[in-house]
Amino acid sequence: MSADQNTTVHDIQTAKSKGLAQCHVCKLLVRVEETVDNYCPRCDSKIHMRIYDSLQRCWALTICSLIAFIPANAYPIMTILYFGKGQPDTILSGIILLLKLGMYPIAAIVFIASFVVPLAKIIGLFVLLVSLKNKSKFTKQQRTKMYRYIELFGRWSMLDVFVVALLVALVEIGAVVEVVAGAGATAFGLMVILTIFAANSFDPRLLWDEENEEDAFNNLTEEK
Amino acid sequence: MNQTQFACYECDTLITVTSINEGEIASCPRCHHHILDKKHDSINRTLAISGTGLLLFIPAVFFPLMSMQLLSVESSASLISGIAALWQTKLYFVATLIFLFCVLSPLIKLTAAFVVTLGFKHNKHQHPFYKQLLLFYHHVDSWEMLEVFLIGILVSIIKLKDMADLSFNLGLLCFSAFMLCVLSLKITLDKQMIWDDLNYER
Ligand SMILES: [Zn+2]
Repeated sequence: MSADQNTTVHDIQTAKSKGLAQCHVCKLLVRVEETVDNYCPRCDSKIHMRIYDSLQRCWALTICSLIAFIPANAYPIMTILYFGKGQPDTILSGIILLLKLGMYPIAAIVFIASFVVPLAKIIGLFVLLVSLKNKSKFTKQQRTKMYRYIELFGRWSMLDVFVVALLVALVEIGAVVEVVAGAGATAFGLMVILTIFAANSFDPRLLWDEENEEDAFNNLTEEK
Repeated sequence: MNQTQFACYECDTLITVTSINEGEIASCPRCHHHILDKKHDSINRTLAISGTGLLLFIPAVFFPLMSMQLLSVESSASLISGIAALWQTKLYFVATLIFLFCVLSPLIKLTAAFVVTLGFKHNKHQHPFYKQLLLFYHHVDSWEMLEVFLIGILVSIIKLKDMADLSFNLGLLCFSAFMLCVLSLKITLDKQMIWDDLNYER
C-alpha cells in the first residue's frame, strides 16, 4: 500500500458530514436542510439524507416476507392431472419429483431459485439488520457485498411462478393432461414482491455511518 | 454542465471525478461500488438497440413460444396466453405480476430509452417529457425479469419433454432477441450523461 493511498483513506468524508445528500435517481449532490422536505432541483424526486425510516420498514417487510414464505411452501403451487388424476405439488415436492425422474440439473436450478435464494435473502436481511445493532463478525465490506448479492439475485425466485404460467397455458387445451395452478403461486409471488421491497428499503450507507478513520484504515489494509 | 462531485450510493463517501474517458469506470475507494461509468457511443447504440427491441415486442409477447402435441391435440403457449390462462384460473395477482415484470416493465424501459435518445440526438431533450421518461426508466429498472422468464421456458420444456412432443416456435427466438435488447440497455444507456445535460434551476 502506497503512502498516498493512506492519505486518501484518512481524508474520507461523507456527504452527510458536509450536509449534502445525493439524489437517488439522478445522482445530483444537493444541500439538504433537516427541518423541511427536500426535492432534487434536477429531477424533482424527494431527497433524504438516508432512506426514510429505513430500519423500521426493512424489519417490517423482512418479517412479512418470512411469514409469506410459509404458505408459499406449504400450499401447492400447481397440480398436474393425467386423465383427471393427480396430486397437488408444492415447490419442494415438485423438486423431489424432478429428482426421482432423474432430472438433476433442473431440480438444482429450481431448488436454488425457489428455495435457497428467497430463504438466503430473508436470512441475509436479518443478519444485516441485526449487525447494525450488535457488533458483527462480518466486516463492512463483506456486509456491503452481501447487500449487493441480495439485490442482484432476488428476482430469480420468480422462476417457478413463470413455469406454472407457461404450463397452465400450454396444457390448457389438452383433455388428457391438465395443469391447475394453486394458491401457493399467489403466496409465492407476494413473497417475491415483499423481499424486493425489503431489500430496496435497506440503506447500505447505514453500515458505514459510524465508521471512524481508524476503521477505514484497518478495513483497507485487511483487504490488501 | 458536467457534475464532478458524487457521493457513493452504498457508503456515502464524497468523491470528485474530474475526468473519465469512455469505457472507464470510477469506483468508490472505500467500498468499491461503481460510482460512474462512461459508455461508448451511448446515444447511437441505445437508439439502435431500443428500436430493435420495440420492433420485437409484438412477436416476443404474442407469438407462441413453444407448442405441444399429445394424442393429436396440439396447443401452444405465448407469454400473453400464459398470463391469460392464469387470469382465467382466477389467479389475478400472479397474472398481474407476470404482466408487470415481463410485459410492462420492459416495454417502458425500451420506450423510455428510445424516446430519450431520439430526443437527445435532435436536441429536444429539454422538454419536461424526457425527464419524466427517464424517471419511469429508473423506477421500472429493478422490476424487469425477462431473463428469469427465459429460464422458466427452459424449465417448462424439460418438465414436459417426457410427457408429450414439444416443438419450439418463432416466438422463442423473438423473445430471446427481445430479452437481449432489454438487457443490453444496461450496458449502452448512459443515464448520467443525459441527466448532466438537462438544465435545471437552483
Ligand atoms: Zn435528482
